[in-house]
Amino acid sequence: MIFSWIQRGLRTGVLTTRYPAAIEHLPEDFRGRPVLDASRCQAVRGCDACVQICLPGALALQNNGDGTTQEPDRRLILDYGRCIQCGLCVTACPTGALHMTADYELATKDREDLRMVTVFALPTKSDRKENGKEESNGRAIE
Amino acid sequence: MMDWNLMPATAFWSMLGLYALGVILSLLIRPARALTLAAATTAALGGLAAIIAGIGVIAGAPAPVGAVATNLPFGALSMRVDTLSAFFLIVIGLVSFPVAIYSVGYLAHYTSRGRLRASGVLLNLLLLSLVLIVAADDMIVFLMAWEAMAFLSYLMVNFEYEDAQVIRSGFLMLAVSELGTVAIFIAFLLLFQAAGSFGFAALRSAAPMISSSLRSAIFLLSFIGFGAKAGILPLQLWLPEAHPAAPSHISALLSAVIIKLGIYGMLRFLLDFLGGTGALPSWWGLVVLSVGALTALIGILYAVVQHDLKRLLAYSSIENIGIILAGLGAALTFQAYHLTAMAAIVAIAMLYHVLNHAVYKGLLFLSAGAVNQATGTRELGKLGGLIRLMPWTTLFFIVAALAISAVPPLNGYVSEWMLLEALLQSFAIPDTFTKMVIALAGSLIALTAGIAVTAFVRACGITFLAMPRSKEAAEAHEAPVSMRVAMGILALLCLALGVLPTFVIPALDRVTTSLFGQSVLNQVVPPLFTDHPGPYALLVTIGGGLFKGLLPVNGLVIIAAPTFATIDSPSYLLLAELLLLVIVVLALRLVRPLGKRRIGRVWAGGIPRFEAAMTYTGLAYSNPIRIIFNGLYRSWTHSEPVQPAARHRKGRIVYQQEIPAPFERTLYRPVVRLAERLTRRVTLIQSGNLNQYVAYIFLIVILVLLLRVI
Amino acid sequence: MVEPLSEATRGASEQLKMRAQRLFGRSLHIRHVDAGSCNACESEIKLLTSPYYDMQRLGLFFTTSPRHADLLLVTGPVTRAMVDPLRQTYEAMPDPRLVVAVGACACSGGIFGESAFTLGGVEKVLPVDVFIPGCPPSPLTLIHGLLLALGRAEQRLYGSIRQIHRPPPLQMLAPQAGERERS
Repeated sequence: MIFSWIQRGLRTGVLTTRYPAAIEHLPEDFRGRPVLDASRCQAVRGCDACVQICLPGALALQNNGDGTTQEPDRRLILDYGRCIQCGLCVTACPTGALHMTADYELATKDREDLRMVTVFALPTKSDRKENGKEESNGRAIE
Repeated sequence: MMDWNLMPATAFWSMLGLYALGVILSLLIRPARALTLAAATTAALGGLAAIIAGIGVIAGAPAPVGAVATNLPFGALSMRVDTLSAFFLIVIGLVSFPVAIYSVGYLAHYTSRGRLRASGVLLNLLLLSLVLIVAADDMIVFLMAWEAMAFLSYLMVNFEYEDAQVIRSGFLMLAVSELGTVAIFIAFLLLFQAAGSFGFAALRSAAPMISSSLRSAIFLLSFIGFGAKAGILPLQLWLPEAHPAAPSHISALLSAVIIKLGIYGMLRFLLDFLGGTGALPSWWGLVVLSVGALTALIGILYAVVQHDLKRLLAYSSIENIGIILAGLGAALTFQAYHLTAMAAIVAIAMLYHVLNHAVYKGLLFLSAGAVNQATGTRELGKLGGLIRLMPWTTLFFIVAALAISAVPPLNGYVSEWMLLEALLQSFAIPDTFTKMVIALAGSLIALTAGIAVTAFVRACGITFLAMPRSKEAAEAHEAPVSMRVAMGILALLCLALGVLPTFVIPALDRVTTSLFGQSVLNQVVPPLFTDHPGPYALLVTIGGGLFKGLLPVNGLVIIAAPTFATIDSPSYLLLAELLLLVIVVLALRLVRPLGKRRIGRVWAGGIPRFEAAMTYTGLAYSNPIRIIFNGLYRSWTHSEPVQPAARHRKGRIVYQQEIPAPFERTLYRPVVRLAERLTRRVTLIQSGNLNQYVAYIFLIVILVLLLRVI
Repeated sequence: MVEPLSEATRGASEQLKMRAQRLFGRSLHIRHVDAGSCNACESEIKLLTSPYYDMQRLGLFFTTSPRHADLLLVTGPVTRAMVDPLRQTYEAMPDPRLVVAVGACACSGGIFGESAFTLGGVEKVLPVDVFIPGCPPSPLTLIHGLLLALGRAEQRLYGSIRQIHRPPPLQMLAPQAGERERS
């Protein structure tokens, strides 16, 4: 009996992963962490599809400023400390701004290091008046 | 200026006078406190006088001798304190002095004047009888004092006579004691028959004339008779009953002194009377050795599973008597093979153990008594956490427990080490069977020593550490001053006897010189402090000569045997231990600690509150030993669920365990049943008919007349 | 609630942490406490001792007594019932000691958040040295986190605040043929 175990062990060989000495490649559909491509995100135009669908509230939108003391902006905060890596935000995003990476080295020393904040500058009234244009779709303003 | 030579004699006679005074005062004084104080004072002073007398005789002063001529058929009553008696006088004095002081505090809460009066009278009389036993120089004084001791100790055990269990225990002690006395009586009579006179001197000189088979009979009778008093297997049944039942200062006296008188009797007979014959059969020593080793092992195995603190100590006394007997057996065996030097060395170790055991067992019983008085219970399962409430008692108990576990620098270490070393010397004996028996006995003693440590770790830990397991234990208070002083004296003695063994061994050597005719002092304590250390010069160079010229002894090093023995020095060991302690403390101070010190709670799994029910129990601690040796114990366990809450949940489980006393089922009950059957036959002569009894008298008279004619 | 550490204490504790990393580099004993977790994290932690991941080859060991532990591994959002036992466990650990929060619940309260029954993360009770996000984090993430606590691995994730000035062009994502909808 023991002899057959030894045989089996010798046949199978070493199974242990060599991480961290070597990078472990995980399958492509492994859900690591969602990453935001800010060039596609439409939060500045009022899109909050990902925020609505996120269960633990890892994605949040924040409006700041009233234009008088600081620049008004809208922030999309992605808190990996709350994320449960369900991937629903990836599916919900209409523009495909979020995609899931297979990252697994996610630990941080600081709680703040888990927060990714993307600040979208909102167009101010003065900006719009200056240019005299009204863009219903929102075009880039120089 | 007093003549120092007369000091022991003066001390001896004044001691007798003091005890007599104590009896008178106890009968006359009316107020209860003054009564106890007076009785205790005379007993204590008598104890001091005993110590002085004993030390004086051993130091070389002439032995106090006394004789009282009577008109009685047995001639003069004589007393003589030779070195052996002097040693036992010291033992008696060293223990009775603290016991007397202790009794002041212990008896303070008894109010019945009659009981206190009886206690005072009996204590002084008992001590008087003990002294007379060791000082006796003829058979009559010895036996009268022996009987007096048996009876008086029976009365003292029955101090709390309201409890039926106490009366039963006391009676058992008396019964076995009387059985032993019968055997002793017959042994003495056999010697008397050859000697023609009752004096010890006559008996001593008559012994070589007796045939060897008769000598062996005397050996067996005296061994069994004195063994019954000492508590050897299988006659130990009374000891675990009587010692706990007695009041604690009497328990201390019983365990520390009175059972040693059994050893004294054996020494008198085997080494003094019969030893002078020159040819000791080797089987005597082997019998004593085997009985001793088995007694030791079985004693401690039963001690470790006891849940009554004083019963545990009583079984431990049985164990130590076994060790002493093993030493005595080894001495007899070496003597039989004419290795007299080795025999004397073993005898020194054995006598040292007698002294040490008296001191630390006395201390253990006195502390157990303090615990009993403070909490009202002796059950380990009800005690606990006393270290905070009774710190001094805890300290003294722990010192005694360390001493009995043979931990240096205390006294138990020296005597046990010397005994074990001596038992290892059996290779010098030519006979293979004897060597095997001695080696086996040595291994049993070593096992005993290990289990003894377990037993006392358990006793200390469950009683004093953790948390109080009952309301009584939680309300304990420290012992009164007199009791603490008494315990402190014994604790200091434990330390002194352990650190200064080379002061004690010359005294013991003087005792063994009288028994074996040879002084082994220079072999055991090599003369390193003299100018000519001879073959021990190497020891001087490696440090054995430290303190030369400062201390009045041979040296501070002990060599336990003439050949192939290890060398030890408890005195230097203490110095080394102190030095090591200083070095470690300094090192800890100088090296920067890795982190700040934090004092936190005991970790018990994050629970909100500690309860006494969570602490270790004595039952659990000794359970592994019980399981391993269950073939010996034949214990009986029973567990039963009570209040089952649901089919799948147990509410409460009741667990019972019983360990019957050794030999109870296999030996005592059959013997007692046999005796009852026989005596039932004899009761036939008791008809209750007066005429029949008169007829008996008539028949006896005719028989006597006929015998006179024949 | 734990008072916030003062600057001096924070500096001293940082020093201690670095010394701890030097001390524990080769051999770390971990004590795990479940502060109300759903046990998914425990399943992943359990796999660390499997032959595939084998944490013991890295010098990491589990221990049962906090007295023997160097690192406290906490899972769960810290239910109110577990606050005191968790604190007692931390206090029973001798210095130097580390605390690692495992899983979304321990980092922030996860899907339970801050409620009548949960505190919302270990940080509310103990000072945390390493946060390991995930629900549950895979054993590789756990290994990375533990080695990060020891200074034997690099932190890869850093918080960022990215300023975007131009709003991006509107461009809807057309569903591609053959692409399966993720459930």
